[in-house]
Parts: sequence; C-alpha cells; structure tokens
Amino acid sequence: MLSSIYTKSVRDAALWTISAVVILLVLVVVALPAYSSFGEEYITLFESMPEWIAVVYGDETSSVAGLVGTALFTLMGPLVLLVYAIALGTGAAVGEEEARTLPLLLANPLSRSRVLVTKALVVAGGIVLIVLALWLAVELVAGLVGIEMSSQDVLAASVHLAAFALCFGSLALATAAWSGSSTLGLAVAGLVAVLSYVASTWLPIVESLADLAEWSPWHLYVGANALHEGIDGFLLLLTLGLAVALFGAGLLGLRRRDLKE
Amino acid sequence: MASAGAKEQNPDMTTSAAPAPIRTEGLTKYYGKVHAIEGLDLEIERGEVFGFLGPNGAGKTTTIRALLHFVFPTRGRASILGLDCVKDAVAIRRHIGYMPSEYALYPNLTGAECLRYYANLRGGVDETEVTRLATRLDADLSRKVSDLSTGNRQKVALIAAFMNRPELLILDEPSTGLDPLMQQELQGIIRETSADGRTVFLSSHSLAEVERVADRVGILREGHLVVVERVDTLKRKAIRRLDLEFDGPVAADALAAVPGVRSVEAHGNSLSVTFEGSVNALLRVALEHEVVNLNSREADLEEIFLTYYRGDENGSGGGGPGAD
Repeated sequence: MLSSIYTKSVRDAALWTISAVVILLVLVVVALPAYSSFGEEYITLFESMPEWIAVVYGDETSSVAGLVGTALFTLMGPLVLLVYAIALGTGAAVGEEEARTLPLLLANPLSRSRVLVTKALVVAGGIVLIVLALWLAVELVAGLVGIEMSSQDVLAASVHLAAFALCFGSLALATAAWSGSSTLGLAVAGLVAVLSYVASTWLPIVESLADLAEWSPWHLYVGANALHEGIDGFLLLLTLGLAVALFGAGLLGLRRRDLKE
Repeated sequence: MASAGAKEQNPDMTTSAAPAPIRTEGLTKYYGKVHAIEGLDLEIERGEVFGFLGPNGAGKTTTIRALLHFVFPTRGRASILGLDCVKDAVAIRRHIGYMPSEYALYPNLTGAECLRYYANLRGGVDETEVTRLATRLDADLSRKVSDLSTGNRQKVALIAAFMNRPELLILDEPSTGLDPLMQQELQGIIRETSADGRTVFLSSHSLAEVERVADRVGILREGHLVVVERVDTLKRKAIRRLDLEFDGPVAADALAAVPGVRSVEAHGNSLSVTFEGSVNALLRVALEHEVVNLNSREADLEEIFLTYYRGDENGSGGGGPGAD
C-alpha cells in the first residue's frame, strides 16, 4: 500500500470509507425491517400531523417506500456522504500541508497538481464505493423485507447522491486549496450544506418563499426527485459540472499560492 | 555574483560547462510587508559544501523554499543544475535530496515504511544505500514514527535526503536533535558527499558544524546576503585577538593608538587587544614594555559571524571584516 500516492491515500482513507459504509449498512439493516413492520403505523401517525410536516418530508409520508427513501436518501445518506466528502476533500487539499508531511513528500519528483489530483480521485472513488454499497444494501434488504422500491430509481437516487457529494467535496477542496486552511474548507462547505438543506427543506412551508428553495444548492439533489422519476440528466450534469469546476478552481488555487511552512 | 573556487572535485561529476548546482539572480521574496529575502545573488559550485548562515528570520529557510518552489519569488529567478526553480520544479526534484527544518513523518508508519514510500515515489533508490545510512546513523527503522524520539525521526529524514545519492543536497538545520556523536557522523557523511563530487547546501545555526564541513559560507542578515567567502579567507580577514601579559601595568591607550587595533581591554597587568591586518605594528609598540606572556587566537566562525551582526547594530550596513 506504499507503492504510490494513490495506494497510500486509499490506505489513509480506508477507515473513513469503511466507517461510512458500515454506518449506512447498519441503517439499512435496521431501518428497512423497522419500516416494513411498523410502516403503516408511521403513515397513520403522519396523517394525523399538521400539513407542513408533509411539506418538509416532500409528500413521502404516504407509503413505506417513501418513508424509506426519505430516511436513506434525503436525511442519513446525504449526511454521511457529505461529512465524508467535505472532510476528505479538505484533507486532500491541505491535509499533508497542515500535518507538515508535505515538504518531505514534495522532496520527491511530484508536482502539487499530481498530489491533489491523485488524492481527489481517491475521495471520488470512496464516494462511489459508499453509494454503491448503499444501493446494493437497499436492493437486497428491501427485497428481503418486502418493501417495493424500483431498482432503477434507487440506482438513480444513488447516482444523484454521489454527484451531490462530489460537488460538496469539491467545494471543500477548492476552499481549502485556495486558503491553505482546513478550518475554512470545513466551515464553508459545512455551512453551505446546512444552510442549503434548511432553505430547501423549510422555505417551501411558506408559500411566498417556496420558489426560492429551488435556488438552494440542495435542490441540485432533491430537485431531481430521482426516487420517483429516475435520473434528471440536466441536474446531474449541472451537479457534476459544478463539481469539476470547483475542483479545477481548487487545483488552480493550490498551484498559484505559497505553501505554508 | 559571489563565487569562489571549491575543493578538488570528482572528474566524473564535473565539467567546465556543467551548470551551477544553485544559482540565484536578484531572488526576492516578500510576505506582505515583510521582506524575507532581498536581491539574493548566489552561485554554488559543484562539489562544494556551502554553509548558509544567519539567525532566525534572516531568510535562510525562505531561500530554500523558493529554490524548491514551495513559495513563489516576488522578483528574480533561481535555478538548480541549470533548471528553472519554478518551471522545472519536478525535474529538479529528481536530482536533489532535501531535508527540511520543519517537517513531520507519517506517525502511523514505521521509519522503514516511510523510507520505502519515499523510495517508491522517487524510484531508483538502492536499498543497500538505505541500510548503509541507517547503520551509520544508528537509526531505528523498525518502530512507528509516533514512538520515535526527535533524534530518530531526524535520522529517518536524513536517510530520505541522502538515500538516492543526489547530485545536490539541500539540508536545513540537519543536525537538530542529533546527539554529538551522530552530529559528527553526519558531518562525515557530508564531507564524503562533497568528496564524491556532489554538492551540499547546508543551512545551519551551528557555526561549529558549518566551520567543520563547509568550503564556503554565505552570511544572511535580514534577507540580504552580506558576505560569501571561503571559510579560511574569512578567517584571515577577520578581527583577531591578542592577549598580552606584562610585568607591570601598561596603559591601554598606548596600544589603542596603533593602526588596525579595534579595542583594548585592561585586566591588571594584561591587555586583550582585538585587531585586524598586520600584527607587526602592534608588536613593536607592545615590545617597548616587558612582555611576560603572549597568546594569539585565530577568530572562529562564531566571532566572524557576530562581527557581521554587531556591524548591523552599529549601523554600519553590510560591512563586516573584509566584506565584499
């Protein structure tokens, strides 16, 4: 595992990747049977709640599959994936610089760009792996407990989730790469994630502000409504394009600035 | 351009047309309003050990970081082995070994694993060279870096710098944390590297260390290179000290008036005189009295170094003894 930056970075990211996969697998294994057993009671419960609850949950409270989709692909999935992408995206940009391992690494014939691109590829690979694990687990467990979910739509939601995580990972990477600060990378990407989630989820409650929710970055993901409508080509390309643009900006930032001592 | 002849070099490694291992022209680096280095003109010759001296904040590490393209120069340019330090940074790193002053190794790897990783990234490293260096430096490579002492971590970083037998070694405070025995061993390795025709750029606080191994020194003060000179020439030009003991009290003024005398201190029947230039005139005046004992000391590098810095305090600009 020490033959190249790529394999070393895979090794360094392994604990994060395994942890993310385990968290999501546990969620799937626990949540799906629970929703299968008590889903109808949940639905009845939601029916007795105020209307705005349904707005927040995106009209997903009328079926067990909808509740599962909300829990995994609107709440926990994005949470786990964004934490992973933001933390590792920041680490890819300035992790070695802040740990002071960069001078000895760059004493070897490597460019800053190569180091960043390699580490970013590892983060992207980790995101894909986690989402793949989530999709397979949902497929398997939903089938076992008898929850009807379209395999293609779950895959579509997984693809959108991966693209969304890549986008936030790139935002964290770009901010950290320009500033040389992991704190700033984490803070900016984290804040944008939280505020955009709040905006996307809560603005629709107020009718006059509902349209504004579509301008929230979170809308890049939830706006696709992939669990029902499959892949939204436009939003997917927009999300991936933004991720690539942010990564390019980060690369430029790292190439142009002085490294910290 | 400051330059002087280096020691006899390995003919396999040198040709008259070969580019200088390090060359800077007007190299300048500002951090905002802080002028870290200003107009640095320097040329290092093949096969020499060049001592780069200066107190903290003088600009030594900034110079090295500009050479390695860790920071962008504000003005000027630098080249290593004829390659531009900005455009050809990656190509340059194939030919150099670098030991930073501030660094960390991977705490969850052993020393051997760190070195294997760096060797894989670099390519072409002979494992027997790693073993040879580890034996010489008595380095423990089997333990995790997090369990190693500062000195042992320093040894791992030193092995990483030397293991590919680079044409140019850039060492920034390499003996920090090493015990005196290992410092001696390191000095031996540096001398052997130079004897092999390879070049060592040694930035150090340890004047004694630089004096033992360097062919030439450059003294940096507040970002300006105030002198580049061979160590022996610098010593010849330096202010020296003469301690004279007489059979009775002698007025200090008698010697203070002699040309070349910088200071005279009286201690009972003794006078301590610092002077530059020929000692003849001083001795002629001194021998007008009964001299019981006489002791002459050659200036060591520390005195020379301090002279340049005292010059600054006295507002004498870049001038030290024999400054170019």
